[in-house]
Amino acid sequence: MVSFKRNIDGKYKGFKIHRAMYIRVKRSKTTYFIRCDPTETVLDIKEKLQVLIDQPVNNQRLILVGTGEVLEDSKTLADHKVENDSVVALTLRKDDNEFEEVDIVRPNDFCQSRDADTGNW
Amino acid sequence: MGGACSRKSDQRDNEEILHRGVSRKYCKSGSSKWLATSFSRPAIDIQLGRGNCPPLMDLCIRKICEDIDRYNTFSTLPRDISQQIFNELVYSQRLTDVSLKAFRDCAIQDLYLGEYPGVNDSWMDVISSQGPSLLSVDLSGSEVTDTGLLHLKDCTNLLALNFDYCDQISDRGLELISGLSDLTSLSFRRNNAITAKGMNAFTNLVNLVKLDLERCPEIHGGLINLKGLSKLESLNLKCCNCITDDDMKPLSGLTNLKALQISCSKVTNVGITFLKGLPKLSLLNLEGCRVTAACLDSLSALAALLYLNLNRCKLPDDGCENLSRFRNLKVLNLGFNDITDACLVHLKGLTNLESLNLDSCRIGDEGLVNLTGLRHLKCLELSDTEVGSSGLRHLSGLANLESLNLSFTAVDDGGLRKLSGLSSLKSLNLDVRQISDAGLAALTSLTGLTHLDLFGARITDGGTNHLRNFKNLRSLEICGGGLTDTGVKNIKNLSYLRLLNLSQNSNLTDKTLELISGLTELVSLNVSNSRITSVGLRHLKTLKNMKSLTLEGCKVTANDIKRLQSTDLPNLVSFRPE
Amino acid sequence: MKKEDMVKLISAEGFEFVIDKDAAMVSQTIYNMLTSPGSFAETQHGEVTFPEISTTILEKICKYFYWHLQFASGKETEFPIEPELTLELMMAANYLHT
Repeated sequence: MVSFKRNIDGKYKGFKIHRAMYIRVKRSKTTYFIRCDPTETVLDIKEKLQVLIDQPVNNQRLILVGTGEVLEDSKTLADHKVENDSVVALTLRKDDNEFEEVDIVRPNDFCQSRDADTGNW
Repeated sequence: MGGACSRKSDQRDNEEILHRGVSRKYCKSGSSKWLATSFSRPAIDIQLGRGNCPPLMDLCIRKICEDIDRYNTFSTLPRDISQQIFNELVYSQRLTDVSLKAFRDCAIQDLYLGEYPGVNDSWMDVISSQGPSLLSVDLSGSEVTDTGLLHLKDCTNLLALNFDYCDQISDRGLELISGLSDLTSLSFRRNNAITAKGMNAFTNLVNLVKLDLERCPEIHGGLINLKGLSKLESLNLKCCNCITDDDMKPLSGLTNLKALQISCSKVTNVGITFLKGLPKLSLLNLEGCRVTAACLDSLSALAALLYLNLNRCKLPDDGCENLSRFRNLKVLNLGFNDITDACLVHLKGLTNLESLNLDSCRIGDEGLVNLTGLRHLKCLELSDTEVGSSGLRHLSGLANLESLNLSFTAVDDGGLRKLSGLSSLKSLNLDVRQISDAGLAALTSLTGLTHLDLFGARITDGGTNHLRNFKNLRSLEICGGGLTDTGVKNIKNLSYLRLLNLSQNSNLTDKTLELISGLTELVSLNVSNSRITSVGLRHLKTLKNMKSLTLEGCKVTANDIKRLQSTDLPNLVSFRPE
Repeated sequence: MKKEDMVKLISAEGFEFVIDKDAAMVSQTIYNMLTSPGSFAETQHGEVTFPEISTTILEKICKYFYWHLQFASGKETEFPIEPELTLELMMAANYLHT
């Protein structure tokens, strides 16, 4: 279940470091939980996302929700103060070469009446 | 000087703290339930500390209990979940008569409220609202009265009821539950109001398997109502002083009876004859009964007998030859009888014995030769006998021996090396004044020891070097007065210790507390009559499992300990000074 | 990171959470779904739909999975639970054997 990855120097990277934290990358109605480390760069994250969403890193833009700050590829997560459980918005490049607006759909399940019976699980 | 003189009462105190400490504080009766549950299930903060990841389910249930005031009803939840919430509320002592209301109509199966503070008749309405789902209820130690029992009549599927120490329940209450004919287990310990008349209710409870009437002083004549309870397997009448030979007669036909306890009753040899025809009886407790050795004749007819307690029966050697007929016995208690080495000859052939108690009998070194063939013995109690060092050679072949009590014997340092081959030994009581460091040195091969009692022994700092061999120790008592902080250095690495008693060592200082601050498993600590001061208490902050702390005769006040309890030792339930 | 190592959990309202399989398998129920071959057709595509679990609760559950793994590897923090979510979260935890 636990995958240990080899570093370039051949040493095993302990999973304590490897899974030091996760961030939540959100676009529309989808959330990607991405394991990462504060020392990783924003580009590293985009490369992970590329695997999942089939979009080249150049077509991705990441924005830290809360501050609205656009994350720069060369900077680390720590530089941008991205912490465990942080929410990051993903926007993609449109046909006109511009990036789309941030679009995170919020669930309204807990705005609805919560008196509905809970016994039907 | 030294603790030896006060030993027996001290021991009782210790037990009291370990087994009843919490109850003394929270309830009137003496059950060990609270302590036991909290032993087996550490509180959340401790669990966190051990890297044992709590399931989300548990986290949610604890959260609900923390915010219990937010919830009006759990009746829409599946019953197994409401059961878990209920159990957690009881465990965390957050359940009140108000929060109880949320459990109305939850179809819960088990309500264990034994020893829970504040339970009274007003709780019975919600309890009984579980209706036919309710299978077992424990209300021991509660204020529930006969009136409260009225509510239970609709809980027709009840299997088990426990009303121990409910002194407001009487014959009328028994009548009210007489319709619960599915009951298999019923308990009314220490009830002064139940009489023969009320016990008529038992005739309807034909499915009873287990009945407990321990310490009910007015039940004489009532056992006649048990005659038809053919499924009865276990009957506890311990300390019912009113029980006589006549009361044994109705039991003669209970052929499924496996366990019968009538200790401290008035039963004599005559009463015992009624038990002859109980083919399944495997446990019989006659402690303190007025029987003579002649009863052994009747008892030898009990082919299934495995456990026999004849403690404090004043048996002399005469007639004890019949003991040789009990070849199946696994456990035999002959403690506090008037027997000598002459009696032990008859135990020679009891090769199935696993436990033998000869506490305070007049036996000596010569008699022990008869025990050499009891190769299955795991537990041997020789406390307060005339046994000395030369007798120990007869024990050296008992390879299965796990527990040996030699306290208050004539054993000295010279004899102990004969024990060095008892590699199964886990518990050794050497509360003997003449034992010293040299004796301890002879025991270093006993690396499996988990309990070592050197209460009155004259152990000094030099002797504590040998303790390093006993890495598995769970409990250790050294109270002979010869220890200083230097000696405690050899104790500080015994990391499994749960109980540590270093009282009476009047030279111990706060340094001792600093040294043992890494013994985080400690549940009970006693450093009474030493130079400990309130300044040293801060070293105990790390001992989060601590439940009992005794610092009598030190420069420490109850308030000092209370402060420590509130800030750092949440599990502390018993402390002295108090 | 490989796509096969991830699984998509879909809430009652159709929101999607893409998480690591080893995190998802903190749930005994999901573990069974992902490891018993053929019995759950949807898991073949690495997707599991929970029509009974609302989005907010499912996201909280996913956070718990990651917290659990962090905890197990020695990072022992507290897992915060909002009082208004507790009851529903507990029902979901019960269903997911988590």
